[in-house]
Amino acid sequence: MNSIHNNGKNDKPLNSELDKLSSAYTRLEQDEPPELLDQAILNSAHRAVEKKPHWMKFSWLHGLTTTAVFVLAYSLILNQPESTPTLEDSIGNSETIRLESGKVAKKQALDVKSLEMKPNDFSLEMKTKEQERQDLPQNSPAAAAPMSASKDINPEDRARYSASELQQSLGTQQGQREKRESPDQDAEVSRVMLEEIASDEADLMVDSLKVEAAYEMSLPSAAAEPVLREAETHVDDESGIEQELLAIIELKQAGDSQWITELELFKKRHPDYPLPNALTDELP
Amino acid sequence: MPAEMTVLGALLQFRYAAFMREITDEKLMQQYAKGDAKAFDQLYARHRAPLYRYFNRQINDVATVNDLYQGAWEKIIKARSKYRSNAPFKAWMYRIAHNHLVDHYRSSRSTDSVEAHTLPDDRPDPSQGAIEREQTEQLRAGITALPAEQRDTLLLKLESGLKMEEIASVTGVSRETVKSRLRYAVNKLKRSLVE
Repeated sequence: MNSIHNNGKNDKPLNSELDKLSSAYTRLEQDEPPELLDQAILNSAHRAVEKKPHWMKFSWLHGLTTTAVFVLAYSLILNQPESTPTLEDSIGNSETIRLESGKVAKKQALDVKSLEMKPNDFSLEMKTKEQERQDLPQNSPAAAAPMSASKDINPEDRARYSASELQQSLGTQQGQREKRESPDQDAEVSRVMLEEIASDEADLMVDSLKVEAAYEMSLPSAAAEPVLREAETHVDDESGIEQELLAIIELKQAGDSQWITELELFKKRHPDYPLPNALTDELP
Repeated sequence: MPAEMTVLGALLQFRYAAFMREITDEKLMQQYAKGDAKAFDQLYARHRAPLYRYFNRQINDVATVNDLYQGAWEKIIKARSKYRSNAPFKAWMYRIAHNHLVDHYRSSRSTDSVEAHTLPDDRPDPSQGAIEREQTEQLRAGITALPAEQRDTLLLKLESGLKMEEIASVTGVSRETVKSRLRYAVNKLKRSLVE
């Protein structure tokens, strides 16, 4: 305590000297910091206590996310195909699709023709059934239903085999039946059956080609429309040819010698179209 | 109506300013530490000139003074969360400033910087001014000529008005050392002014 008290007592002369000095000191030029410096310090102080959004606290996460997005975008750009689709390309694509659909239609036609050209199991089966029916007594149910074999053909078989094949097989059957039935009755039956079969065949082809066209519709619409139109035209042509052949067969069965002339004209119009056996057997 | 609003606004501003004047430095610093930026504005307005002179009277290079001044405030801003209200703010602030100055001396290897910090040539010639002005400049020159420890202690006393115990706490020396430095400094200045 003495020390402190003594210190206090001893401070008085020094304090009076300091007071005098202080009054002289206040007369010195009152320097102040530049305004820019003041503003910089105040801004720094305000920034220090500025409340940041929660997500800004995770600055490392923000940086990481940004980097990841850039890397992803860059990799996507690199993996893009080099050629971007242009108007010319789209036209080319639709052309290709149209050509492809044309090829498919042609291939189907060729398949049908090849099936018509080769001897098939179905016609043999029909012949066998016909033979069995001839062997049976006339009053048996199987024999009582002449040509009901065509009704026994299930729809799958119908779709598989073309109308001309059926005509071929039926023509054979008709040739055999000619020996035991009258020509008029036989011609009427065969005409009805051929019409029915041709109609079914045409429906099946229209259905299949419409399905294909519907699939093509999911592609650019410009490509699908020609396919559908071509398919309908193709079916119309087939039906017309079948009708022509049917008319020639009717002429032949009616005993009209005109059928040979009509057949020649048909061959000229459709040189590649295969003829049924019923027409080729008795040609000169 | 706008005139009434203007009067009301001015009144509120006046009341707010009066309220802020009543708040102690310690309270303002606490408020700033809690995020009140305006409290810092008030605190800065109170202490900006004395702190600037504290540096300016010790170092004659303005750029260095500005750097030291800004650096000291940056340290105060960064250390806001460490401030304890039971410590006088002024003593705490000048401790930071003093340490910053000592760091500067250490980095420039000129602890006794009387020779290093000579007066610039563009100072007014004492023979051309009035006596009072001459005495003022002599005082400035005398302060600059003091040894660094005495000058620092004297400026802490003259600029901040800290007590000897507080200056002792700021500079990290005993009270007697502070008193001794002040006595030496005052005697030297008296001699320089008489001459």
